[in-house]
Amino acid sequence: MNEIDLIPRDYRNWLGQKRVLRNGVILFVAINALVLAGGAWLSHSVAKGKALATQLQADNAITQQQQLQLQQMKDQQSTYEQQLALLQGLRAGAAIEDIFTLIDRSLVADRLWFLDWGFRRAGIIVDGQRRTYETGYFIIVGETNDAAKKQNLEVETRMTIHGQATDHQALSSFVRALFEQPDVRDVNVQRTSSINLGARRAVEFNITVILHSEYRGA
Amino acid sequence: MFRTVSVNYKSGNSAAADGAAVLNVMKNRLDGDLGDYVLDFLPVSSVSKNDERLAMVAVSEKPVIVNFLELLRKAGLDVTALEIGPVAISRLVGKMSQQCGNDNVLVINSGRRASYLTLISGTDLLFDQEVSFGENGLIQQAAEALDMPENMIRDHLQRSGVASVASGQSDLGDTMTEILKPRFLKLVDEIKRVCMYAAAETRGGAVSQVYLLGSVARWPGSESLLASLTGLDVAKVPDPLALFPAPGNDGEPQTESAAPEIAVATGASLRGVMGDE
Repeated sequence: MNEIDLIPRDYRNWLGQKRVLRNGVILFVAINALVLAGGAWLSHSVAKGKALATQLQADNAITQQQQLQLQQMKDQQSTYEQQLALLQGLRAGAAIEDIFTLIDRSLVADRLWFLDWGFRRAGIIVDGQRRTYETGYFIIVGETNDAAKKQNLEVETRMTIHGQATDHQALSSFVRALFEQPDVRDVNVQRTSSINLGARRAVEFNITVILHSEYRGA
Repeated sequence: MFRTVSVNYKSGNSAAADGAAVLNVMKNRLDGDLGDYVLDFLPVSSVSKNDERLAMVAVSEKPVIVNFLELLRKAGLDVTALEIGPVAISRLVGKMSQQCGNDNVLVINSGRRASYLTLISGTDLLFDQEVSFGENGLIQQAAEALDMPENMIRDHLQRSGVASVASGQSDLGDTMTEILKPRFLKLVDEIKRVCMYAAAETRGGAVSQVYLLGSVARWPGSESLLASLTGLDVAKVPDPLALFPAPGNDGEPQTESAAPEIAVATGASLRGVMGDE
């Protein structure tokens, strides 16, 4: 021991403990301040992120609205295209002279004749399955019907013939000859009946001839 | 605030054993519990009689010290250690003794109320004693004897000082010296007692130098008066700053601005610098 020091040991220890406590408090306060600052920064970041997310959601909503509008416009365009195709199909179709040429090729000379005939060209909605027979009704389906969207619009040209034949063989030959025509899609014999035509018997018939359409709209 | 006690104790083989021995001795010298006091001691390395050694013990009541430390702490000061004046003086004188080659040095630190005699052997603090020799008492005695105000006496002493016995000064100076001489003689008695103690503790070593510092040292001729009364070499303490070379002075000591008043402060500032040689 080479120096005199009159500071009591317990007082020095008390000062040391006080210093440690003060440093601890300072450290605690500093850590809390850091935590608070970090929390504030995180909160700010979260708020900023939320604002960004809200902005993105708004943008996304706008995009979805635009997509919806685009889809609606596409649907409208599709409807218009269908209607345009229908109109074009109705305007186009098979030429009358071609139909008569086709009928003429199938006629059996002097054994079958026509009393009346009708001609109809119209668009029909089909469910995607080709039909062998249609009643001739037009089916109009609203745009909101999803099932209708899967259906096809078909321009059908049909001809109804009321005539007479000398016998069923002549009628059968005529119908078979019609079937063999590439433009004929279907031939339906609607009605046949035997009639007395003077001294001989004859067959009166009603048939429907459905021609291949040049247009099949989607 | 504190007092110093020189004690003889049986040296142990460790510092802890020495401390315990000193505490054991002090237990018989102090009233009450030792826990009520703050003690520290300086062993005197040069004095040893067989296994018995001398130590300078500084002691103070703990509440006084704690209150003082609290005052300093509340003042914003960070107290590293609580030094005592005699140790600082012994450190300064020890430094000067290395240069002057003095063996035993007596320092008279005069205050307003009392003075302190500090005996230093080499670098060891041998003895420190308070004596009832203060500036206030001297001035009061002179003022009563001359029927003059104390302020006037103080101014006169600081300006003209005291005349030595051999010197023939003015009538007032001689009168003042005669008035104060009985009190100086009491101090001389104490100095002689210390010289005897020094001889006893240092195997016949004499006090080769007496330094005077403090308030009485500022009176012109005070050191000469004491020298004439004691027959010893009495001088005002040299400029403490002379120990330190001035910056840019090629190692030459600083001689200007002599300030013996800062002797204690200079000694305290040497704590830890001298390597406790």
